[in-house]
Amino acid sequence: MPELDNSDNTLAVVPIIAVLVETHWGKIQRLTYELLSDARKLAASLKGKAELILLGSPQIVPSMVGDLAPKVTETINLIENDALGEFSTEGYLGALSAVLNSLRPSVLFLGATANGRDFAPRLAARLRYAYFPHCLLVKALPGNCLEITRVTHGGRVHVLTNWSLIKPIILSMRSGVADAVALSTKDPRPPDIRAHSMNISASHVRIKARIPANPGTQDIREAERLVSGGKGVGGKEEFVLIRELADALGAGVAASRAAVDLGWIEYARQVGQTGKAVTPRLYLAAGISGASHHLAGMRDSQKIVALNTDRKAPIFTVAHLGAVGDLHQVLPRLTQKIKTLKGGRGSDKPASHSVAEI
Amino acid sequence: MRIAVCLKEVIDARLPLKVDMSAGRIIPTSLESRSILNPADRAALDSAMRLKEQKQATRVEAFSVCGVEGQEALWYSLARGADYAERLGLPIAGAPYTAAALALRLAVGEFDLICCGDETLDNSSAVVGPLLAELMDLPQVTSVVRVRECTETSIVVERGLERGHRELVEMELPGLLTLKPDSAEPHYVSFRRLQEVHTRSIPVRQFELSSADTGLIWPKEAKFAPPRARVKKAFTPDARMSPAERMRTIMAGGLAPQEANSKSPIIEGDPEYVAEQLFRFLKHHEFV
Amino acid sequence: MQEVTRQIEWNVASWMLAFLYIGSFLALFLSAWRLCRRVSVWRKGCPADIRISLGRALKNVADWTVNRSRMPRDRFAATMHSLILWGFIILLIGTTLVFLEHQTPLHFYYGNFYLIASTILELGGIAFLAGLSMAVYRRHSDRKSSLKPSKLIDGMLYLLIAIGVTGFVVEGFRISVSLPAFEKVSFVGYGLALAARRMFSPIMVPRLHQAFWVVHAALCIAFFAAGTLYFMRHVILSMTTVALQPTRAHGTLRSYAFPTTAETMGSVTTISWKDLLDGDACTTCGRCSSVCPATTAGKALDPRQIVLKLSNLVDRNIAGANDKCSTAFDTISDRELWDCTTCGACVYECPVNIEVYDKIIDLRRQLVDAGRISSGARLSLEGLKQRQNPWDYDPSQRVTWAEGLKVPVFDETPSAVPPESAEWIYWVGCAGAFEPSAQSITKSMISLLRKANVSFVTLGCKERCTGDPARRLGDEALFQSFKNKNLETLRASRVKKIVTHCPHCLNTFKNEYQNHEGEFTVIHHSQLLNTLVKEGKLQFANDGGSKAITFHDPCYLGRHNGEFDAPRDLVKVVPGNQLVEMKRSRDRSFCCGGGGGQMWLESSGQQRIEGLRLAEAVDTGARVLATACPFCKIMLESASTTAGHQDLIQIKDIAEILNEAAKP
Repeated sequence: MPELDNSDNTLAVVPIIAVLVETHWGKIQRLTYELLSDARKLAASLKGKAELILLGSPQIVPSMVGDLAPKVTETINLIENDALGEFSTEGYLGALSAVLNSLRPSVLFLGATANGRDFAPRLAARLRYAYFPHCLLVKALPGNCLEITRVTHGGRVHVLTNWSLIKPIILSMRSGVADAVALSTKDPRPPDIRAHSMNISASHVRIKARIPANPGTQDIREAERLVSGGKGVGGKEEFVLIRELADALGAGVAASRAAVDLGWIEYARQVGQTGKAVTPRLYLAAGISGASHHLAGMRDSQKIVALNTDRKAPIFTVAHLGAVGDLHQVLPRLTQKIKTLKGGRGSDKPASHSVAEI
Repeated sequence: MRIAVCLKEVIDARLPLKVDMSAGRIIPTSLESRSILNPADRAALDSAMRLKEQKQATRVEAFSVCGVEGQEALWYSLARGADYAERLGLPIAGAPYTAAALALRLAVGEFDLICCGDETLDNSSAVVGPLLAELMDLPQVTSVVRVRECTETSIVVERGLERGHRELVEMELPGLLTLKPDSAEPHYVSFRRLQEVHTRSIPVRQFELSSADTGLIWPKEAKFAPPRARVKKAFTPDARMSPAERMRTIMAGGLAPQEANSKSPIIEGDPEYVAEQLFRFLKHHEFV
Repeated sequence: MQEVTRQIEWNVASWMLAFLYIGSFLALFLSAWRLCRRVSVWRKGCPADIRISLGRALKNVADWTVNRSRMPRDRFAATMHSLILWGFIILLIGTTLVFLEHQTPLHFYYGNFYLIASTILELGGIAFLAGLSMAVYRRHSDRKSSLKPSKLIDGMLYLLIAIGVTGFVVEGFRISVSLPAFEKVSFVGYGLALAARRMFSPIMVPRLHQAFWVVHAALCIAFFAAGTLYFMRHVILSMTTVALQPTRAHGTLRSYAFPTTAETMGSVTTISWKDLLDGDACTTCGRCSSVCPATTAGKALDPRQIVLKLSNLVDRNIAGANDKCSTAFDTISDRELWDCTTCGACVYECPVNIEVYDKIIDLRRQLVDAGRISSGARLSLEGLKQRQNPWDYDPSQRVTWAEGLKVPVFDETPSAVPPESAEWIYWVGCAGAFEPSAQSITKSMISLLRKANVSFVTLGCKERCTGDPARRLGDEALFQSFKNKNLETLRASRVKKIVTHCPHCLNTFKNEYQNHEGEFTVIHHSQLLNTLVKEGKLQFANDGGSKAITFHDPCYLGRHNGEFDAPRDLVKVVPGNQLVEMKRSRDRSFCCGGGGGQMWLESSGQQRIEGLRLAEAVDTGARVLATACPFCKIMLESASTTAGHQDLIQIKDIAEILNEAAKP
């Protein structure tokens, strides 16, 4: 195994733990606050300081700052540039190179998102930082060391590594693990905003269009949430109950093989061994008994909720929450409750979209 | 248009694994040592072959940095229809070295497009693609879910973001793409064709990149020096558990995980009560 | 006293004879030329998996002539065809006799010989016309027949009827000239002669005789000329296909010579010459389609069409010999080829021994080689390659069914049993290991084997798929690799007798693993259980109840391997069971829809094959549907769930039924 390279600069007196503010199409993501939580803990252990880095174009920065500033106390390092309106590898590399060269943090936290994984290896290469992808946990150890837990083999193996902070490191973190930092602001003082500038380089990549996900039409494998109906639904017309709940939840509609075979819904929505394998954050199964070929297609979902009239249905063995009941009675009531809640918020966007989650 | 595809033969991490703690190695538990072509790399190969079948590409060449046991991937690419396959031998394993060897080799081939898988089933680091682009100074689009159009000078792809959102992206050629496993309709290669290609020998090119060069592994220019950290320990949490559950296990100091979900609560009652409980669950987990 | 012989020469002028002989010669020449053109296209076909021996060919034809093989499966058609065939042959012999008598120095057609021959000829003519009338009726009025309307075939029938009728008319005129008493044996002709006498003057009769003679001759010439057109080819070619019928066991697929990359997929050179010959020999009777489960369920596949489309391929090859290559896939869609369940009903019904479903599988093999398969098939084949089972299950889960049962296993674990200690290998198979529905069959079988004190061992994780799904889906090389590895495992176990509850595994071991040269004997669990029951090793408790049970014959046990009785005996041996037969049973059993790789293919069309079969079972009134195959059980259970019949009828394997009733 190659050895650690300890020949570089010593640790800065007050180590800076930087956090890249995660944004998606101009909106701040909750992941930012999870990263900040990790950063704050680390800063406390290392007796250092956490700072934020925000990138954007002049059109979107004001609203982002407006959203962010009331929630944090840390300094926001800001780069405003027309090239940063959309994600671009070169743009982000240029901007972050400028900020990191000026800031010289010991650790940079960013999210293991599609964008993060895109530029982080190149950034690490350019700036001679170490790069740890897909991390789950970071813990400070005595002697300015970190213990980093990485995920490999599709989540089946966790690799723990020690890293000495003599060499700066970029950590790309999985979302949904850390608790988002509490957003209360005891300190009414607005955070400092420090502007940086960057060189613009010509980009050979151009985003032509944004294609927002449409839970109604997107492939069920990409859906973050699914409401799935089975034989218990009882008929093609009754499937509207599933659709309405899905609409209310911003979820896609899926089905078991029985429902597809009976012609109630199209095959593209079939979950299971002879259909598609899905891993959404929420899988709500209504009227599905849970035969092994169906479970094979959805058991890796993050949260499984099952509703069935049969107490002994196999689906309950994998459900995080099981309910015994008649879906024709329960689903409309549930849908109504959700609609009432969304309607009561009064905002033009449903609550589930205000902080667009990754 | 000439396309290069980077392949890797990996352990099928979708099957149960045993970890050899002392050596930090993974041992697959199934009957035979099951290695497969990394699914994302397969999609990269299928995407490249599709471009060739649509006559938008003239030549597809496949490369893999691996030992003799990894040649399966290259034979598969030939059976699939690639024009040429070559193995790159390296004394040291590791993503940065892989990227460096590929960069050296591909620079010679005058390729217009390089297709890689976005991540491997084993290490899941997703590093080789972007690193290769950096070393070759190429533009890149990562996380590609579909190749849409292609001309001699540019390529238009759909890029997959979280939650199913997508972007339509245009990249000038020459450039590099990293593709997700579902980005191409998989094409079946019959066993007979696989057997046929096994009679062909795959050319090998050896690279001497070692860590003895004080961390500099790029023999021509010092662009990247990746220090490799020592692996402390590796353990396997119960894969049947959700990530949050696994997290709790790890935080509990690696204690034996509970039987997944056999004791999860089941609510019963009249429809109003059941609906209310479901609603509260959804609210608690912030789905509404 | 006139000589007792045929009075003919007086009115048949030489020009008429010339017309007949030259016309016939030219007509036959035309037919032969047409046939030769087709033969030259067959010869372009690739080698066929067939061993030709003259002795066996003759034996096959003799067999067919005597007991008509498949004809009696449809009594009406058998009778009709026999009448036409034998009527025609008798008449042909008759004409030959006349020719010999009058054109050669031979002299025998007189006296008693003449009288007997005349009578037979008369009966032959009547039989001929009777058969043809039956045929016309069948084509036009019989709703249940599987025939398709065809002006061409109707035309042929009318032509033949006209030949028969004019033959009698000519005879009538001939006899009416002198009306000799001995001609009364030709009673129809005699009757017509009497009528002619009354209707026409003595001067008209010879003229009419000549006229009708010429008409009759012309019709015969027309018949000869049409002798190798379309459907009429079967007259000659059916004997060829009967002679060349395969000797391999029913359930065995043929081997296939894969085309080289230079050949276009689906062109004549990629199809075996036997298949092209078969296509031309088809009688278009449609019996194959009438029993095909896919056709019955309204799917795209129609076996008759597949066979005829190959004939059409030969047509197109003749027509456009220099044009772009015509291929079988121009007219045969992929969907049709994937609908086949390989049940073998078509082959059982075909009166001329055409290898019907083998053609479908050979075309599938070409599709698979080109990667032109659906995603369901791909997942199954890749699952086989990577995980040794067609469901793509994690292979280490192969023994989870055995948890807690302490089953003797021969594998690499510490608790492995030395192999030679067992008498039987119980081959569990993939369904029995992975699928919950089939796992209960396995467990029941283990229980029964223990109750009967049978010494057995299982192979645990050393088992891998026999390769049957790979072969049926069309990846022949993949099948061969499974065969080789399994033979290794079996040899290493050093046990010679294998019992399995899966007819697919049975068929593959017995008929398709051809290397083992009698090294192993394989039997089905119903056969072993039957033996055990007869030896008294299993006893059954009598609960006093009475139950109606019906039995579904698995295609791979029944039609393909000839075992219909063992499972039935087992059903009956349990006290209280009343066996009720479904209408389509034994070798006419209607497939469950699970074979031929269908278990892993997406199903097309409105109706499901298994739904139709389940409905048939429910109609018998039985409360239990007994099966002897895990695939049948899975398919029928799925049909039951879809139809909501779970409370109406239970689906159980023979082993489960026995185990429930057997005393410990």
